[in-house]
Amino acid sequence: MAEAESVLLTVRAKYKPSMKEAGLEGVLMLTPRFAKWTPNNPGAATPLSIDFKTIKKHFNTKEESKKALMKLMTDVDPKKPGFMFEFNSFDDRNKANPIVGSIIARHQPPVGPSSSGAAASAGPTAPSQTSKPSGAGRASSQLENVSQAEIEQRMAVLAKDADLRKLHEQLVGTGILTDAEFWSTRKGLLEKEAAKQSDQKTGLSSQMLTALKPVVDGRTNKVSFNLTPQIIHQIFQERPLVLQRYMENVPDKLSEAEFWTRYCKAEYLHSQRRAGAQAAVADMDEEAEAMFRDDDAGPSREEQTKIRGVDPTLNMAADQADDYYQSTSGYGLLRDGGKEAGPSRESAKKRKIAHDINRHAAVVLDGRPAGEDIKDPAAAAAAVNAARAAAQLAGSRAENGDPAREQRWHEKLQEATDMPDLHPQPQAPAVPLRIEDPRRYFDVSTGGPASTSAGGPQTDGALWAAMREQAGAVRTEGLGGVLPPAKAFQVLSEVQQQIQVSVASAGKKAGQDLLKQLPASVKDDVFQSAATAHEMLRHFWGAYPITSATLLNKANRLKDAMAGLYERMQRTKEGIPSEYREPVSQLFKPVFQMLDAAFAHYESEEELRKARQQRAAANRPAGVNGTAQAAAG
Amino acid sequence: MKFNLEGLTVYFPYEYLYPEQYSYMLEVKRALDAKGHGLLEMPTGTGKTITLLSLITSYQLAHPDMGKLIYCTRTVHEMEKVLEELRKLQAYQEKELGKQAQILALGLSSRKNLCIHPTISGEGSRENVDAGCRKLTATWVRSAAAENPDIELCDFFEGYEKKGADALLPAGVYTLHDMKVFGRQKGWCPYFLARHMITFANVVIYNYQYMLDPKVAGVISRELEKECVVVFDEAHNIDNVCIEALSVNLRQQTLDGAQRNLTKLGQVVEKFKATDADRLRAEYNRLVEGLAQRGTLPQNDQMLANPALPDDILREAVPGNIRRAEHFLAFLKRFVQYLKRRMGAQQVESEGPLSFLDDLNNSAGIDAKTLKFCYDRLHSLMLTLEITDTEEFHHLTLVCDFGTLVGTYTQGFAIIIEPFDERMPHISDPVMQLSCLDSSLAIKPVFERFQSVIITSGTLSPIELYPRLLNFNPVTIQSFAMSLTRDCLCPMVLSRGSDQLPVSTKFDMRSDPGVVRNYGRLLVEMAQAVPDGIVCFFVSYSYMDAIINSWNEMGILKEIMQHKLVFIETQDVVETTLALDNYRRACDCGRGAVFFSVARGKVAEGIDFDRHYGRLVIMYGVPFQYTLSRILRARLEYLRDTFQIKENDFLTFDAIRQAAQCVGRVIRSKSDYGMMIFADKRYQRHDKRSKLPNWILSQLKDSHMNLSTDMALHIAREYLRRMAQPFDSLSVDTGTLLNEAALQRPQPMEVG
Repeated sequence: MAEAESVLLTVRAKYKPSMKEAGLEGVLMLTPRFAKWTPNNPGAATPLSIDFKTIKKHFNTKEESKKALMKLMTDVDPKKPGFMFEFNSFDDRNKANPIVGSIIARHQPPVGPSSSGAAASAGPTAPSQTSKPSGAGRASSQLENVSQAEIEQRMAVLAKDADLRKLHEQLVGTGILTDAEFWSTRKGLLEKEAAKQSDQKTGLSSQMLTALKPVVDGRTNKVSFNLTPQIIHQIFQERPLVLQRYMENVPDKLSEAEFWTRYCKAEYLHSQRRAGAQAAVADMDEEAEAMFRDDDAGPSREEQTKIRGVDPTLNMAADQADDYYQSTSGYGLLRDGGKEAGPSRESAKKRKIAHDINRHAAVVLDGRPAGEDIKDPAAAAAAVNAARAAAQLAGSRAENGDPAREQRWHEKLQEATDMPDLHPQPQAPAVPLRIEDPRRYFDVSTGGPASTSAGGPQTDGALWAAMREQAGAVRTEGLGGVLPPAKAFQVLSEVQQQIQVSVASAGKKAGQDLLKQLPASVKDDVFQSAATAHEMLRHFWGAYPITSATLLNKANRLKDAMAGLYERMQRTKEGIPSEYREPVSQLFKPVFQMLDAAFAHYESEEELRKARQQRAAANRPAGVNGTAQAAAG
Repeated sequence: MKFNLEGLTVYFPYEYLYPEQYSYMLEVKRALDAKGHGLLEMPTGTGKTITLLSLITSYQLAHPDMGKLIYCTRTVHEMEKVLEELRKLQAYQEKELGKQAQILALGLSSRKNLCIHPTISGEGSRENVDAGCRKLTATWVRSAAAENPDIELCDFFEGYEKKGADALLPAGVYTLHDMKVFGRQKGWCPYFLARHMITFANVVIYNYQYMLDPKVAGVISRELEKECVVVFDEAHNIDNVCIEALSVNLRQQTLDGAQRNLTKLGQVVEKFKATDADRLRAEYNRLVEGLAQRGTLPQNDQMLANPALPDDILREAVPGNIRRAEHFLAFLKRFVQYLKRRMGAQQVESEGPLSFLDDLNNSAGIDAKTLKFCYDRLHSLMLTLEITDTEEFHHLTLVCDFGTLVGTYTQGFAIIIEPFDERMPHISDPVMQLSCLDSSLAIKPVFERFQSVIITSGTLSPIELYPRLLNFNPVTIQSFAMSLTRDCLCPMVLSRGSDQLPVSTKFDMRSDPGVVRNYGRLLVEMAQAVPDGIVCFFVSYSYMDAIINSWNEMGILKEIMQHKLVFIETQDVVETTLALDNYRRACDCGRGAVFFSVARGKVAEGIDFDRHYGRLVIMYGVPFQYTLSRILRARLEYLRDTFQIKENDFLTFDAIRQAAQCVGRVIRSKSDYGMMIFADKRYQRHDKRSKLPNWILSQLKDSHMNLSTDMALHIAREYLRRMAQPFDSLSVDTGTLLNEAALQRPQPMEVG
């Protein structure tokens, strides 16, 4: 058990039996199998030895927080107690964090891609090797700091895109690129995937229930309504009373169909009343309407819960308690010219369109819970009921002092009372451009050889002189260096000819035709090679300017891979039937050119590097600070 | 910033100051220096509240002998906002001055808003909570509980009582919520603690009624010292509040209830006679000796005070014929009988108190003097009989209020009996209203009692009218303009629809489908062009209901919903509050919304639609009062006869101030912006338009008048495009913002 004895890290850390306590001073040792903690004062507590096999997760406090805490959990549920350690500094904690993470990951059974959200958010150092689609063994050597969620996103992207998958296999699978390198250029794809996975609420149409307009067939005296499960769901949401009646009556007293027939009758009656056609509805079913009449005029419990959460800058319900002149109180005036009769008992019960609109808008604003697909009315009723119960619960919990809500109130109050333009205006946020070594920046951008050929950096003076010279030339020769007409005409006709030629060839859509001529297998091969070459080139150029050994390593690696590809493409070109050879070589031409350019750049860089190394080697014995020079060069 | 204002160091919590804020402070300071009253109109969106608070607290710091600041607001949510601004100011002053700048400021509201008792606080209305509280805290209940542990008491009140005078709030600014949190923490009743702390506080913020209504003020504000400064903010409707404070209305249910109350009281008296006759005798002796009034009652036993103004309450012995409980009950029975008979009238009757009293004397043998004591006598009886359930006896209390007021005042009141509401003649609902006609009556004691009263609002135009309505002489009367860095207001008068036909809510035009359609098209077009929130004000609930129904049938509502969500104010306050909350959420999340509201409604009175919550306000029509109202007619007559104010002038003034109040809710600072559309051809007329506040009028260009819908849309598009540009507010140089240096320049250096 040599491995068990090897201590990976030893740090000072306090052990905290609970969040509230100050914690006991001690030393934490991490070995590949155990986390051992011994108190400084041996009498204060018994030493701990925690087997990593029992640990499911670990949590860290954020860097911004006051204390550097780490919690080792024996259960996935964060509310369950675990072992809490407080480190003296964040540095200590950050040393321990990756070690603990990798150990826990090793002890855990591999997590398949099917395990979802809960595990995904588990920890920042979930195992990286389990999710590698290829090269699982190879990748285990490097500890990549990739979350499980991101790995899943990568897998999902690959699963959807066959071309990308092939590319991934070719480049990552063969070790030319690491996984991280491959994905670093495809952040956008991953983000898009992440956005799709998050539980975004689907919006609702702000249309009122127009679908419930009766359809009249014109021949008979019938009106028919169409109810879909979605509409029923919306009805339940917007009219709690209907839901209540539904729960009471279906399926015990009424069947599904009977219930909705009654509802539609009541609706129809109501719409006719609203339109003022009293006579038409005289013989209609009053009973149906009575069923959906709201007898309970006071604010519902739901409303009362909600009103407690309303921010105090608009809580008019609180005013009622200070108002001695309400219509019911008897104080003040009842029928003043500026006052309207309060809602009488009859009118309060009458369902007004204003209520419907308010209720509808509130439902639309809340949106539809994600991922819900309502199939039948019963499910709809259950869903709405559950949502309402959850809201109630949250509301009643909030009654007993909810810090988040108070915070929100406070913000609202702040917003409502602040005078923004009386504050001093902050300067527009801008990051000043600071180039520590301008020469290096400009040399790189103009290409290394140019500056070296000039024999060292140009001074300002030299630039100035060059400019003076040019200006002088203009002054002596004037701007009259215009071409003679004959020559200009020649150039013009030449350009025109070129344009004509290209227009003619463009008309033939040469490129497209080339591809169309090729058989499918060859075409795939061409695409594949081109895509691989592009990807490699992108990474190759991305490695420059080379500032570290890893980049150099990468460039070398890519160069070799590209050389291989180059050869393979050559072979492909030669291997295909002769009638297709011409178009393929045309298609390959730009790829070869690009690869050639890359090779050329590599060669020149390589020479430069060698020269620099030699210079550095020459300088070192002289005792001059060589590295600075090399960087400057 | 800190600057010197004519020798007073003013602490202002922002780095910059608007010039109008500076002149506003100057005027307030002059009023305070002169120990007189002030009437100041200052546009909304110029930080009126913070200016006032900043000046007055700075004045308090400089003159420690000055009394407290009593800040009256219309609504609880305004109170919260004022306290928040005060907190900001306080933090700044403490930073500048340290501990000596510490003040105690608190908001006071009814038990309903302050109660933390687990069961009582959950009860519905104010009356329920009040009665519930009394049941647990009345003196006799508590003394009974001392012997019988089964009687339930309120732990929080007991906790507060145990501490006695030591129950104190530490210095700071307390909102209602903070009071409740503090109360829970200490186990003290926040309501009684707040009432107790008024004496110690530097700043008290409460509702108008706590100052103006003698019933409430007699309990709450009785002990305030003369040196206090009283501020009425958003005071454009102050005359209406004054009138309501002295008015009572009786309905059929009230009289029926009063009769039941009398029977019940009779039973209780009989019971007491049998078991505890001494108590009744003691009361009788007390009444013989002198006042019915109790002098100082413990806070927990107090009920609403005498409805008459303090100066008009007779300080003498209760007349002999109502000293005995049974005599008094018989007297009340006769009175209620008489009222019932009068209520049965088939036609509208309107008379003055004198003729009413005359008739009362002739037919029921009740004279004015006895009637005057009605309220105090009932109060005394209820205390003697140890009645805690004040809510149940509300009806009888109301009848006694009515009696006392009728007996006390012969001038400036009218009694109007209506068998039905004229707007709904088919529903029989008889009401007897005792209406105060003179708004100066209720506010008179306030002017006399306190050395400085500042009345201020964004809309007090025409400002000369208010001193006449309220009958007082302000030492400073001023209407401030608004200095603008850019056109953050864009008022327009829309007189025609897109079909060039005039639009109006005039009685003969309002139900014309063409007008309704034109109004609807206007909103549809605007909903397409204007981002975020739009607010529409209608002239009345009934008109709004009708127009929404028509729009629904015409499909206009559907079109509006394609662009924005729609929320509607209803007469149910809870529903309206939730609708408002949702409206704000819709604006916050970018979906955009339209809010339909009513001028003179609760929303128009106190909710701000600033920033993205309101980029456009449409005022549909001119919000005239219902001119056939009997009370309004009586009041107009009185105004004409006593103050020589013409009827039409008053009606227009009243309508325009409501309209200005509605549209004025869109901006809250100069970096904000909003449009206002007055959609009625009558705004075109000079007599209406000229009554708008100056800060709106000055922005109303000639080219923005007499518009049709398409022209208005064009202007709106242009305006929004311009205003959406980033706002460069570094405008110290243009003179619309002052910084510390600019303020110090013309001033002599600080002396001390």
